[in-house]
Amino acid sequence: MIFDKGRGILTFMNGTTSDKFVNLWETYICGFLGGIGIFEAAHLTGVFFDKSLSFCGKLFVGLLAAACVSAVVYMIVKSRKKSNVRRRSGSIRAALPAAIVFLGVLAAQIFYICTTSMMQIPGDITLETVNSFLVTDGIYTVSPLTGKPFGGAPLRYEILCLPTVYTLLCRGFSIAPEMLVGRVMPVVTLCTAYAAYYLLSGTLFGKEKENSEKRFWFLVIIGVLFFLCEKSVYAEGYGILHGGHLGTTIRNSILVPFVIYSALEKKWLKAILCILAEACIVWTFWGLGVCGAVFAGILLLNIAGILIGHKGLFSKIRKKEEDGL
Amino acid sequence: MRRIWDCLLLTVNGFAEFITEYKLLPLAIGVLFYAAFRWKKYKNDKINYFLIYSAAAVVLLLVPVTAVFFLVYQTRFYDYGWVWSMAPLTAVIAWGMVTIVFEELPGAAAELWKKYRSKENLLRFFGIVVAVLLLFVCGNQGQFQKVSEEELRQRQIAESILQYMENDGGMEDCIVWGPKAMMQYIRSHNGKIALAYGRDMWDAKAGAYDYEVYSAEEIEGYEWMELLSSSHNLYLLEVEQTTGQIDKALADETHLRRAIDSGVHYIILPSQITAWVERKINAAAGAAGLKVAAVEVAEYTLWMLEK
Repeated sequence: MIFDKGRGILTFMNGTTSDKFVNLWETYICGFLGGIGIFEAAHLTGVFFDKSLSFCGKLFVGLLAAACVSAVVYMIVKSRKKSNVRRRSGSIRAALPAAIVFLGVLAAQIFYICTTSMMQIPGDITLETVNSFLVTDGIYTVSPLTGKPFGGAPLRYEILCLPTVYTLLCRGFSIAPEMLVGRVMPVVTLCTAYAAYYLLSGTLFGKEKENSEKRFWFLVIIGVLFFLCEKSVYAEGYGILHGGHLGTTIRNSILVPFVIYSALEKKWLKAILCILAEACIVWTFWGLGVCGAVFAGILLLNIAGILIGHKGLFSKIRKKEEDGL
Repeated sequence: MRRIWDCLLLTVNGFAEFITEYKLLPLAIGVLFYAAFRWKKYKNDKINYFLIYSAAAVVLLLVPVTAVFFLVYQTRFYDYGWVWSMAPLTAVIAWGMVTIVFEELPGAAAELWKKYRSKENLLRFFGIVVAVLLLFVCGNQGQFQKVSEEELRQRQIAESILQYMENDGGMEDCIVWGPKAMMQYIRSHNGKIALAYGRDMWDAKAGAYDYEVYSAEEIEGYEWMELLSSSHNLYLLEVEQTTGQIDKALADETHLRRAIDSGVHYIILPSQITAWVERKINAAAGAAGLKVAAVEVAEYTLWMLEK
């Protein structure tokens, strides 16, 4: 369903652009972001209209079904217009040794996540919140930490949908909250983070076959950094290995690399999708967060390039210097 | 003005704490310096935009005055360290390592490269190994963070207590009071059980989701419970070297009475002080018309109050 939704979103956003390639990982991440959006819609219904969690769950299933059907119909319509969408192929074979090392690092990290005891991250109340949602069948009807009625959380906190996401997933798939929050979600975040970094590597090194090896070594170095940067609570490694369920981890590991990729590739709509997704999972400054800052920074650079009067700013500078020589 | 000064101090202190743990920042800055000297080589404008953005973000975050802006932008909900999310340090370091190995290594080791040209993959692999070793030295050097043995042991005891309570039945409207390790585990694993106070009593960051504060009596009750549950104080009790503070706490039944009056059903206390607690809890429960039952679970006694 994630790929299906993602492909629909991707087709919608690509429209008639020159990018005729359907990237599997871009599809997946777009679907992931679309999923966050649908969960957020169901969550906000529960928050603003005082609906039970069961109602939100049914609403989510309905919205997801509608999104998937719409995506399928849209893709069928687009394919009839012969958009010549095709897949890139053959990139993995050229970089087999690097790919094997990467898979080894990935397997080691999944093993680490699944076998180490869950750390108590300061300020993280996800498990308590999910348990209280499950018991009360409501959203913030009782204090997650004490279980007693309370005055309610700030609106900017209540609109964040991740606890509702995990509660609905626990209920839908009959998984214990500790298993979902401590094991399943960190593995999902880890794999999606690598998908985002793989896309970014295509932008930095080129998408041609001969660059596949560099791209996989890039992922290996990213994986090693995840392992080695887990001492600081603010580092991605700590978030990936010990707090993969947190909104800040999803933002730093998935949304930020994807927004950089989208902005550098001038896929502005996808970058805006990241900004919206961040607003749904992390406390932001009225919807503007890190993704917004990154997007604004790269957009300003593009505008500066245009204002200086040229499309490839650095090529022009380089050419001038070469002519001067 | 005062607020800006406070933010500046927070930025400076926060950076000192951040750099103590995150030692890869100098490596990222080194990669950006390398890129600054070699940028003409990169025909791809996207890489240039990526590097310029990264360099600008690092500079703006290093300078305290501009870092304050980002601190305010991300809101005070988050600590200083999270502002560094705006600089893609991981991607910069990884890009730098791969670029140096694939583009600089052949040039720098030209003679070696000519000799072992047929084994260029091996040389690149060697370059990657050196890069990983460098990251290892700058990173956590293989010393992963882990949950302490003592905390794991306390979790196992809390699980036993929780299982006993669940088997005992009557989880609805049930309130528990005990040492923070016990209460934290119980609430995390059973949403039906309420607590006398939450984790925000000792973890201020956990209280960011609501505006309520604890009363002075609740805070005193927490301090009393933690004083009596402290392993150091229990040791002094066993070797009969109690301090005045512990004697006073053992003699005090105010907090027990307040807990029972506020509707607490389960009280968890260390077994070492059962003799002192028994008389006081019986008196307090009797005054409230409640019956008391006790069961030992590992090194704690679970006191159950019922009508």
